[in-house]
Amino acid sequence: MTVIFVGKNNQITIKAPKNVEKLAKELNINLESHVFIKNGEIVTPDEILQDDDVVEIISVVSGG
Amino acid sequence: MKCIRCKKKAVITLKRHNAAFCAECFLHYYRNQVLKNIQKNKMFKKDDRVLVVVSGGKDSMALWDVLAKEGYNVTAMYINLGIGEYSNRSQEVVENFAKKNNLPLIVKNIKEEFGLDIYKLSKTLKRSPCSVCGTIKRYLFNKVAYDNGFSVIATGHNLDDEAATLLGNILNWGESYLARQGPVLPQTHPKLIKKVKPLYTLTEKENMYYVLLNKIEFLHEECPYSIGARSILYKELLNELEEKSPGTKQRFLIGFLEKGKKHFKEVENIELKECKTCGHVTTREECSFCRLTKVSNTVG
Ligand SMILES: [Zn+2]
Ligand SMILES: [Zn+2]
Repeated sequence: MTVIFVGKNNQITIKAPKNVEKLAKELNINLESHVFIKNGEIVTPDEILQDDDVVEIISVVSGG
Repeated sequence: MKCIRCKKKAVITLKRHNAAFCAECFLHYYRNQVLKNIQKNKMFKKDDRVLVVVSGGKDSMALWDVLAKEGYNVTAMYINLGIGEYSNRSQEVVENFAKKNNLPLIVKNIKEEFGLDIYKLSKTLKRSPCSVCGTIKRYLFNKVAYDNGFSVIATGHNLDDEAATLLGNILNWGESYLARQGPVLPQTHPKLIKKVKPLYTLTEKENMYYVLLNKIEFLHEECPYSIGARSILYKELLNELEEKSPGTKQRFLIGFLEKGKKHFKEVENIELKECKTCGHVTTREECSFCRLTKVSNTVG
């Protein structure tokens, strides 16, 4: 699958299948502070991701 | 995973509430939370004129949208802080939203209208840009609200902001800050407008979901001065706790408001005066905004 880090200008390829929770663990990303989007739709941590999926990861933490 | 309300496929899980929602039911939950916060804390009513502070970021855009949709009498206010492209892009986001939804918006520009430059001021005064910026924003939002007869100022502070502020105030034992922190800052002087935070029980992530589901344009980019801010470190630490133990942030904040806050008192008895230059409320002869303007005029 293609993983895009929104707003960071960074994109990587990760082996599928695996669910969002596993992907987050593998990338050391906190589920509480990130939103996961699969092919344009928001998904829950149990969503299975396949090789042809495009996954966008958005950090929700802001300053101030 | 299924939506706990309608049993359709869930798109969002909220562990601290043991809940999963489809898009529609999440928005229902979100609206209810906001309305409950407003009513429970007597923030404002339908006939109050509410000034909503907007920055173009997800939280304030979500607040602006939800209050307008719920039929509150809202006017948004945006301050262009002159922080390069960041400020121009955020102003554009805010203006587009106002236009598209036919909502009233007040725009102030601190460089053009007051000759203030945050970067220069922070260098001259050896203060952090965020502290200079905070002084300017607090002054202008209050002034515009007072001059135009608004009864309340609403900001997009979320659960993460509030929990991070609380953690910082506890780590530093800021007694007077702890005595004041809360979803409502009451009016303590006729010229100090009441301030409220209708999103204080909603997380940053929930605000992000709200703007994404409603396809509201927002600026993802952060103010360049906020990079490395202490508040971001506190938020990350709290989110680590939250992931291992869902509900931590909410228990921390709500527990403080219900059980902890009452034990703190404002340390000194502050005497409120009126600024000799502009008449704004201050604890000194001249308010901090007028002093900034003077420094700015001398430095040029
Ligand atoms: Zn549902
Ligand atoms: Zn003044």
